[in-house]
Amino acid sequence: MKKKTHPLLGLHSLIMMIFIYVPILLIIVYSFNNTRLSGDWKGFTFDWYVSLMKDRHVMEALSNSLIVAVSSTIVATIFGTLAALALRNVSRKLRVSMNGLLYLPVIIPDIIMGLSLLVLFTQLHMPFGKITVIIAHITFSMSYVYVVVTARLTGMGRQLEEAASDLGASGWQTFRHVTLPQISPGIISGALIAFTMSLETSWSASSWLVQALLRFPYIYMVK
Amino acid sequence: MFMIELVGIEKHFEGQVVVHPLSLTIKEGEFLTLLGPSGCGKTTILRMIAGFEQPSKGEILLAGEQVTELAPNQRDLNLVFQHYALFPHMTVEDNIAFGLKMKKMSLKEQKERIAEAVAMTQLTALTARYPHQLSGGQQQRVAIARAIANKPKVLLLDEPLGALDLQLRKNLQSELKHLQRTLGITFVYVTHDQEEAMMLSDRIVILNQGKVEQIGTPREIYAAPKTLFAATFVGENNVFSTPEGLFTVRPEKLRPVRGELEARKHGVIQDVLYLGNVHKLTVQLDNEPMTVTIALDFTDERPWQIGERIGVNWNQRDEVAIGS
Repeated sequence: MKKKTHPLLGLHSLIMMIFIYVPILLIIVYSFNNTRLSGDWKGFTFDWYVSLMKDRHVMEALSNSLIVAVSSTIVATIFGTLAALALRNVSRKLRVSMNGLLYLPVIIPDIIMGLSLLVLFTQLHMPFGKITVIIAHITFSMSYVYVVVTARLTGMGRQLEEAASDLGASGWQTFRHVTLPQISPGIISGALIAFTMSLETSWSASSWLVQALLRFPYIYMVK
Repeated sequence: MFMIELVGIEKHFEGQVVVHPLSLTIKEGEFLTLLGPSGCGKTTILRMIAGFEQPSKGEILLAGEQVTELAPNQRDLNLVFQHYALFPHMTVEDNIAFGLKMKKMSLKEQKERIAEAVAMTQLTALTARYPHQLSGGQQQRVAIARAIANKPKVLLLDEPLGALDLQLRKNLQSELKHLQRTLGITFVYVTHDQEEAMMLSDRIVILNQGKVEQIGTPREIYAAPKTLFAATFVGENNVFSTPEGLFTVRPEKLRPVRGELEARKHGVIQDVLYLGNVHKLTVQLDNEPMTVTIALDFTDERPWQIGERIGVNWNQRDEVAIGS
């Protein structure tokens, strides 16, 4: 059975796609343009890529960003998932307040988050570096994982786990064979969001300021 | 031998009594139904037997052994859930094998048990499918196969046919009854459908607001209800009030009479419902704010008219006193 889509809806989608992807496409095309100034097409070149690869600072920034993103994603995914699982089995009151608390890092402006962590790390006399940035990224990306996994758990309900238990599965067996396979799409999308948020924060302007405040010794974007 | 003994179990939830003190014994191989409207506590009782809820007071014995404190996975019984609760990421075969795997049964024995269970539930052709590829009735069969493959001492069923349409319900009802006779397993069945309860059960427990109204065979409950609730919840009934108390007479025990004959009551026909094998007359009684329903079988071919004045008669022995 094929569902009919309203023709205007298709047109709308097309326009939106153009709107979102054409600028990105243009950047890619112009990255091969043999001129310092964009605008006119002056011939094809790989020069820009060569000089990018040769730029030690940019490459270092990229590798640092990836290290931070991968490690913070792994930890945040585990912590966020565990938090979601744990808060399923507490009283409603505690769950609601913990929900609010865990959601806070998602809505709080990056700059305030950065400043508060700066104060904390200073108080703890922690040397600023990759570790502090990773911790900072875990604090907010964990919340995204928590929110996504919680939604998945809520959607799943209790019956499947009760059925497993009824069929003789222990707590661990139930988790391993039923809960985990059921929530894994949530865990994966949570991890993807965490990874994206970490990378984006590494490159975004506000974070650039925060990182500068943290005296993160890496140069971003522009030499 | 008693398969299940409930000894004074009760359940309180946030200060409210959900199940009032209940003692009940269920015999081996019995088909027992907990019948009542939604919120009467029937599912809570079933979940206490399964181990998902702890009774606030009282004890539960399974085959003579104390199980009150045992977790669900340590009780030798299985529950068929209302919405089946099939594992969506497993095939029919893996769903049925789940309980056997948890028991660390040998692969050979697993295969035998699965083959047996799917044959009994007519699922042999569907073992490789996933639950979402099955119809509601087929999913229901998988849920039952998954439970009976474990050969439990007791099978608990929580409104297992509640989500299915009428025709399918009827077919599955007789299949269930047949299955229970073949297996000889004790069934504890929860439903709000009184017809289903009558048809399937050896004994019925009628529950209302967490209290037992009556326990008895379908025949006892239909012919001799003990309370007003039991009298009106199971089957249609006419309740008459006298200074000495209430009594009921079933619609099929009432007789309409024409002319100026002696009759216990008189009234006007308000409605005539033709249902094929029976037709029903609704009669507004004189000087009383109530209507009675009279059921006539197919042998009655008199043309009853709406608005017609008739007399209503019955035999004294068909009156059932139900207290107040």
